[in-house]
Amino acid sequence: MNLIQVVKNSAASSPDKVFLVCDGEKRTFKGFYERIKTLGAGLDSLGVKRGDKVALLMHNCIEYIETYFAVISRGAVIVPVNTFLKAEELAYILNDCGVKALFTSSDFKDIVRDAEKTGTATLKNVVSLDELKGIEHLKYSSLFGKGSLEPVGAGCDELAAILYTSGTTGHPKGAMLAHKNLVTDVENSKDVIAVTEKDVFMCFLPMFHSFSFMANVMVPLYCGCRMVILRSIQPFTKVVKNLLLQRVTIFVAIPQVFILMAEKHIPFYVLLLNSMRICISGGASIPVEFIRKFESKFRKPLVEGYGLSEAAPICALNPLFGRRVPGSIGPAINNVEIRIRDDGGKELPAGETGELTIKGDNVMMGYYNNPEATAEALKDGWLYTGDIGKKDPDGYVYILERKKDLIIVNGMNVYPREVEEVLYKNPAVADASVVGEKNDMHGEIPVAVVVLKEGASADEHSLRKFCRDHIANYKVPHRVEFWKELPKNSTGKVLKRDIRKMIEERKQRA
Amino acid sequence: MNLLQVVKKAAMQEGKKTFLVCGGQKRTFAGFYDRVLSVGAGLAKLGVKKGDRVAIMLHNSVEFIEAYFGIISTGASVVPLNVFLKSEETAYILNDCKVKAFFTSSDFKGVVEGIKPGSVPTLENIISVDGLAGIGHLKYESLITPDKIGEIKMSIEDMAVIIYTSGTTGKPKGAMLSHKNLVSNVENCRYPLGIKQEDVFLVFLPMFHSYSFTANVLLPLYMQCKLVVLKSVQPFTNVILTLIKHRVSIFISIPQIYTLLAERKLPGWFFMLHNLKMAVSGGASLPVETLKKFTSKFKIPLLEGYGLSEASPICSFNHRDRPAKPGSIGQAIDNVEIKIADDSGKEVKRGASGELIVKGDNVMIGYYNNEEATREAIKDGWLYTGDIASMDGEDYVFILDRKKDMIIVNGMNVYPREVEEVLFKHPSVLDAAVIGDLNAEHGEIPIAVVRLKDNVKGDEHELRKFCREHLANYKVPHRIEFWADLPRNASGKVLKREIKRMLSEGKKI
Repeated sequence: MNLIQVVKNSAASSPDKVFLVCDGEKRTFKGFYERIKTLGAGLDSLGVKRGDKVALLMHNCIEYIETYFAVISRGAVIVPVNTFLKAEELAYILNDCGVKALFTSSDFKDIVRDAEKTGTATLKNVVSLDELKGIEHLKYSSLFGKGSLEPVGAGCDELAAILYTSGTTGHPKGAMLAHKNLVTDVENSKDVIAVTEKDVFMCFLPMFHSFSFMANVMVPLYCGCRMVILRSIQPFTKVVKNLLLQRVTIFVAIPQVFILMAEKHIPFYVLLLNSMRICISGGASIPVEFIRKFESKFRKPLVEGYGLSEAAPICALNPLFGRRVPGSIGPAINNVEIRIRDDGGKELPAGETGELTIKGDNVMMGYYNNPEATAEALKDGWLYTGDIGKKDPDGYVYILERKKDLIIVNGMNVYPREVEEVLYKNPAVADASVVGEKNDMHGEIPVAVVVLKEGASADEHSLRKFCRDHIANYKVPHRVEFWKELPKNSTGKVLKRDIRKMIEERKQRA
Repeated sequence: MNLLQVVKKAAMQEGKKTFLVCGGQKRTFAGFYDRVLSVGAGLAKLGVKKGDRVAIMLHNSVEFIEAYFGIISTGASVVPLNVFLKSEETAYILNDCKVKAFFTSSDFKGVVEGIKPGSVPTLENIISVDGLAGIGHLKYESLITPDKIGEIKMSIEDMAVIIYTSGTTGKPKGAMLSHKNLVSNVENCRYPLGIKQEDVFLVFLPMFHSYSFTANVLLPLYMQCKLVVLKSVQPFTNVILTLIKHRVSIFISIPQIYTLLAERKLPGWFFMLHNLKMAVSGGASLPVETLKKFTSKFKIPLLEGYGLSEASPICSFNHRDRPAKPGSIGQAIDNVEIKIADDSGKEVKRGASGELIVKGDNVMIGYYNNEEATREAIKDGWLYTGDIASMDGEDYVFILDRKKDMIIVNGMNVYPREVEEVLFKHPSVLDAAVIGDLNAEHGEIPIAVVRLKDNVKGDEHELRKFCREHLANYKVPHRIEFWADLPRNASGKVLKREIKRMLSEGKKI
């Protein structure tokens, strides 16, 4: 099945059922499909053709999902953009894959304008939900009323989406996902948690994130479930209110939200009245003590899973029925294999520690225009995740640490290199290294250690501001420390492990 | 979805609904899934595992479908065998793809007996639905215990089925179909055919045939429809009574049956009582005359389509919600592309003739163990069908001719080479050519023209008997003519077109 057939099937089997609810606005499955075909005609009028790239920079809303599928219905490729990005980062992505049209809203006016200033050669059209002052653009609503177009055919191996994730080399990489990657990931994970059409979902995590889009949009769309859209997790009382009023049964969030809920005072009637059947945590790992706290407080199962954008993203999930193991990410989902390998790529027996590798129909086609990174990530059909873990004899997988120096902030990946590159641009900086530090609120936070040039002066505040001008806020170091030099090995490689240890020691002393 | 997920989904969504009815037997979707997992567990105990091949030679039955999905549940591939095959042909296939186990019944005792012990070294188990006196075998029911097979990881790209079709080189070729090929084929024709869950299907065409299995078994399974299984089209009265009794709404068949239905006198009550909504014709081309007669008599749409085993098999149909063009095989199904190409693969102008080529998720992985034939058939992702066709301005396709010399008998492919090879084996035959002749009853029939060795007297009866010993009956020439020589071109190639012309004019050499 391709992605459009998923929409068409739901429209055929539950035409009049409400699919999307967002601030009083509603779409039935059939209405949603009709809007896609209408918007498809609008896209066609813009000259969007098969294989073209269309970027999507919006907060959660019905239009986000409409645009996503309308683009795909024309055989074009959707490029969801992280809403926290800055102009430079946006421009990089638009240019990297040659985006032809950008769908956005006035929330991103400044970023879009500044990105255009830095040069976006391929970008022909900016479409906005509302007025974008100072930028040539088309209104989203103007794309409707140009008739309706039947979706163009697509094989399930065809490219559907490019998801940009932070890259080890400093620039983000575009993971190319085929229709089959996304559709099979639903098919192979929905039975693990026994989703039925009676379930109700709620999406407050940003939809650009692969985990949020899969669990909160694709699964309800495929299974014919109602889905309540919230623009953001703030205010949290709105989340709670919707949880109760909309009778949400499947609650999907990142660890920080569950930790908050486990810790925060929750009115007794919420605990009494909530209709949750199951809670799913993904994006980063969640400490076992919080799973226990949450479960004993809410008396609902909280299952942890594991995934990465390169695998569409779900790879493993603790089963709803059967043994759930807190601290484990569960066994691989149906028809997906996880094997632990040593540095030579040899498979390791149960209990031994090595790199997690994944095989299945969910594994991406490769990185866009980046054969080198692709060859490094995909070997023999196996995706090398860079995560270090082990598997018990029953197939339950445990993540122990990360091979790459990746930092995960609120479920979003940050490669230190990307932040370091920005620090190097500052005239006062001679050397810099960024490491992750555990943090209750965000999971992890980036911390920078900087060596200043002789005679140069800079303070923490100015360096952090400098970073904020260039990269998304979540990537900006929470703390900048000034050291005389960085610990390095004989070949000059920075020893991040030592830095982490030294930071830890200082903190304890303090 | 892989094929097993299709079964699981139906079992979860419509567990209590009746899926299969065959004589007195019935299976609900949940009951069917249960039996499939039991057969899978039984096979696993016999050592069948992912990557193995298991053949089925059975007439239409509940067991055929159970065995099919039971094999799939182990991760092994199914090899459905044409029930008309003889021992030699069967042994060839079992050896070609190294079959490990073989489902059959006493109906095929003769065929199995004819396979010399030890001639298929990989074959470890013969499983019979009802016993096979004198041959070592396991009973089908003995496979079924309360044990259920556990989850086997399967990619939708994994090979699920190998379908053997007559080959241009004399030996059948195994078209490898993946889960994706078969499942997408159903997904891509459900809307063009307008199938609904409340539809009722009837299968009487043999299930080993890709058209019959995809359109008549997989499609109802995917759409969670009831399916009535008949062992054969004979007796035809039984087909008629079943149509009425089970309120069959979708009738899928081959042109010969429609010709029969168009001509045959049917009682008035039939027209008052039947629930037919739509008829589908495939397997060979449908005469326009039959189409007209049938539709004016039954007052339901008769949609002609086109396919080939190598494309899982459905490629095009006259879509249910669009005007049908008589004589046309309709438009490509959803998400499948059809192009008419010249010899270099370039698309020709609309209206011009060229080779029909197909691209989509339904196009096979390739021919089993036959890279050369695969390269010839699939170029740049396009499947070259060997059929000559044209396409009009509205994307309707018209089949004009066949590039290859293939003959289609009752919807089954016969390559002349395969029959000629057998004739050559006969001691009195010096030269032979087999061609197809139009025939109202069978669509086409093979006819042989033979040049005998010097001083040998021709005996048509004896030669046909010789063919019958080596070949499935439908491949055996209906007529054999003895000529003094065969027409050839300068390079020695036999001119089949010339033979056809001479035969039609009653001439000979």
